[in-house]
Formats: sequence, structure tokens, C-alpha cells
Amino acid sequence: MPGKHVLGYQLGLAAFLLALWEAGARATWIDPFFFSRPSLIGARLAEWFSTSLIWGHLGATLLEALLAFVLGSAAGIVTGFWLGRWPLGAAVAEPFLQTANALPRVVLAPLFIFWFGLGIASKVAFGMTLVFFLVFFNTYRGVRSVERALIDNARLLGANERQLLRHVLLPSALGWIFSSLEASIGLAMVGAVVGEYLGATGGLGYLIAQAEGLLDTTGMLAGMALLAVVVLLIAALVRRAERRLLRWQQPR
Amino acid sequence: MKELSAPALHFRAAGRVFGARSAIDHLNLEIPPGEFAALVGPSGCGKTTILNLAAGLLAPTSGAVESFGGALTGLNPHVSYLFQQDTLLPWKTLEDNIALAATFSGRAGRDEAREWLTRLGLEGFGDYYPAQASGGMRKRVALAQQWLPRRPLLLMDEPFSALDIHTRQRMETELLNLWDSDQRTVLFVTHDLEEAIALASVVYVLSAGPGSRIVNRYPIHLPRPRAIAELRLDPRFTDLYRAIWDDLRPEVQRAHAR
Ligand SMILES: Nc1ncnc2c1ncn2[C@@H]1O[C@H](COP(=O)(O)OP(=O)(O)OP(=O)(O)O)[C@@H](O)[C@H]1O
Ligand SMILES: [Mg+2]
Repeated sequence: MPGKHVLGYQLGLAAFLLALWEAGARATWIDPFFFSRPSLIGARLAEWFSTSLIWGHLGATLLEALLAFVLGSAAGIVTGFWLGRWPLGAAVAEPFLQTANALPRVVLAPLFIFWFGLGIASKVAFGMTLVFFLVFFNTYRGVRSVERALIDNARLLGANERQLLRHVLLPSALGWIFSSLEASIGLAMVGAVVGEYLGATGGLGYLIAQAEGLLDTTGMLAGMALLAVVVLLIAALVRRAERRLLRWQQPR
Repeated sequence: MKELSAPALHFRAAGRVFGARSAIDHLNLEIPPGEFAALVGPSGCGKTTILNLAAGLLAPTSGAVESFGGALTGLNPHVSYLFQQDTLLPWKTLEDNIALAATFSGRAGRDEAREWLTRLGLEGFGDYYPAQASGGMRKRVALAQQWLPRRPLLLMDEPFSALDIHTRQRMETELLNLWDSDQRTVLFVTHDLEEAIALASVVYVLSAGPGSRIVNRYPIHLPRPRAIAELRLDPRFTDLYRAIWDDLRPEVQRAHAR
């Protein structure tokens, strides 16, 4: 165990880096026009939160990301279980899924805006394509890696297919699914922000794009800082849920 | 259909090949209800394959397998099967693992499961997860999990081979007590001849693979109840051991030669 001082060191390191940045920018070792300064970014964030406008942007991004995350994960989990239990279907679907997954997804974003408009639908659809594949592949692998003997034993003890899913396959795949959920929350946010950045009427991505249009680095960096904090908070929540649901993996 | 007089298990010239390799060939084996049969043979001779055929997890590639008068198509509804490897669900507590068959049949099974925990000396460990339990505890729970559904035929695949000698003798005694109290049919696979003689009412010796068959059948007329630890010193026990070992030794040597 690394011990209880870790958090202190981490905070110290963060403070040191920010101080270095601040001092460097003030002394013009680095150009404040391109890199701004932590104090300016902090002031900008304070300014944003003093009006209620920022909540609207934040809310729009979170809603898009949440929908993309929930719908994409649900589709990924269901498809993963379905193909995991149906080898023929998996064999047929494989080349299609590989092709779709190999496509760099960012090129889809403009297309989705073209199809679904500047509103929320295009961002959700884009985020879903990012989340789906990650969750699907992990779920599929999780279902396929369940030990044969566990399944045979449950079936001999009288489990039907639904009970097998609930008592054996799902709990066994849960570890794999969770390991993809943290990353997919990040991807859902990426989907929302990139979508907004390319064309929207609100959201954090839209804020960053606007700041970019004004060559306002402080605004761009403030938007990114906010984004990072939100993703970290959500990831912490997921880890808590994971610890609860995977209690059996941590012997007392 | 299930008949009382029909054999619990009947292999009729059953064979099973894996790819080009024949695991068992023309195997004839008939186990009447209530018998405690032990199957001994060298490693890799097809013991697990025979149990998988009996459970209906595998289909024979030739011949037929019947259980209580019905030919097997799919899973055998009359069996419980204690696998060679650990099959407790790691995400369920020991209590929930014991009650698993009850859960699948739509009952809670809590009371029964608690009673079994007490009976096996595991009182207070009900909410442990398998990862927190010792190997001996897990085996006891696995035995209870299989015994509880009251199936007439119990298949056991080297269930105690990974245990230390004291835990092992305790488990063997436990099993004999259970069997004495309600005479189910047991097919017990082991490569330990002493264990086979100590437990069973009949011992079958399998030949080394490929294409294993039954070499010989030995009824064990040792009185019951048997005291596992002392039994091994009994002259009748040692006589039986010598006789069966004469059959088994060449098979083991043949298996090693390959
Ligand atoms: N699913 C399978 N696919 C291919 N070969 C198999 C399969 N199952 C068993 N075999 C082969 O059949 C033979 C018998 O295997 P089996 O597991 O029944 O032996 P065993 O007597 O139980 O051995 P052990 O005492 O080591 O457990 C072995 O040669 C094994 O490699
Ligand atoms: Mg085996």
C-alpha cells in the first residue's frame, strides 16, 4: 500500500505545476496569449458560475453524454450477451462489427449533424457509436470467458436459460462490463463535446468553439478544465457502484 | 421412464471419440440403484468422460447410455454432479451456493441451507464468499449443494483429491454418513485405490486409454458403518488392495509408458 500521504503529494504536485505555469506566464517565459494563466482561467470559471448561463451549457452536455452512455451501454450489453450465447450469429456478425469498429468514428460526427440536425439527437447518436463498441466487445468477451463447468453445473442443478443469465453469465461478465464503463463515460463526454464543437446551439463544446473563434485561450482552457472535473466526478461515482456490485471479488 | 428396478446407470457398448482419438470404447457398465460404485483408472483413461456421458453433458459416439430405464437425450434429470474442478459461484455466499438448486426451482431454500451449514460444521460462515473459504470448506459446501436436490444418482469426480489427509478423511466419513442415511446411487471416480475400497460397495478398474474398457469388477464386502482411518489396517482391506492393485498396476504402467 502506498500509504496515506499520497493525496498530500498529489495536491502538492498540482499546486506546484499551477504555480510554475502562473509564474512563467507572468514573467512571459511562456506567452500568456497562447497559454493563458491559471488565475485568469479561475477568474473566468468564477465569472461563468456567477451567471446561470453556464448551468445551461453544462446541463446540455451532461444530458447528451448521459443519454449516449445509457443507450450505448444498454445496446452494447444486450448485443454482447446475445452474440455471446449464439455462436452462429457471432460468426456472421463479426466482419461487419470489425469493419464498423475500424472506422475512425470522428468522421461520422459531421455526417450525424447532417442527418440529425444541430440539436441533441446528433450528439447522442455520435456518442452512442463510441460507447457501443467498447461495451459490446467487453460484454461479449466476458460472456465467452465464463468457465464451462460453472454453466454445466448450473444447468444440471436445474437453471433455465433466463436463470443462467441472471445467476451465472451476468455476474461473471460484470467485471468485464465495469472495466469498460469508466472508459465509456469518457467516450460519451467526447461524443457530446465533439458533436457540439462541430455544430450546436449550446453545451461545453459549443463554449469552447466560441472561445476559439475569438482567439480566447482563457475561455477554451476554462471549458476544458470544467470538462475534466466533470468526467473525474462521474468516474468516481462509477467506481463506487463497481465496488458495491463486485463485493465478492474483495475477500475480507 | 423411471422405474425402480431399472439400473441407475447402464452403459451399453458405449464409445466416445474426440477427433481421431477414442477415449472409451465398447464400455459396458451397469450400476443398480443404491450401489456405491467406485471407478479407478490411470490419469487420462476416460473417467471424467464416463461421468460426462452419465450426466448427459456429452453424447456417446457409439452405443447408448441409459439411466433408470430411459435412454439419455440431453441432460440426465436424475443426477447431481460434483465436478473435478471448483464450481461454486464466486459471487454467491456459501449459503446461497448451497441453496442454488432451490433457487432455480423457485424456492428460497434458506432454512435447509442453514441446517446444512450447521450439519457440516460451517455455522456462522454462511455469508462468506467462496474466495474467503478454505478448500475444505468449499468442498463441503459443494457436496451439500449437490446432495440437497435429492437426485437419486450422485456423480463425483475425484472430489477429495486436492484436500489434505485429515480434511479428506473427514469428508469421506461425511459422505459415508450421508450415503448410509439415504441410500442413493453413487458413482465415485478416483485414482486413489485406497479411497475407492474404503468407500465403495463395488470397485471397477478401467484400462489405460485410448479406447478404455472395464478390466475387472470387485465387490467390496467390508462391513458398514466403516471407520475410514482404521479400515486401512484391516487385513481384509489389505487383501482386497493387493488383488485389485495387481489389475491396476499394469494399466498405470501402460499409461505412463505413453
Ligand atoms: N473435450 C475434449 N476434447 C478432446 N479430447 C478430450 C476431451 N475431453 C477428454 N478428452 C480426451 O479424452 C481422454 C480421457 O479424458 P478424461 O478427462 O476423461 O480422463 P480422466 O480419466 O478423467 O483423467 P484424469 O484422471 O487426469 O482426470 C484424454 O485423452 C483426453 O485428452
Ligand atoms: Mg478427470
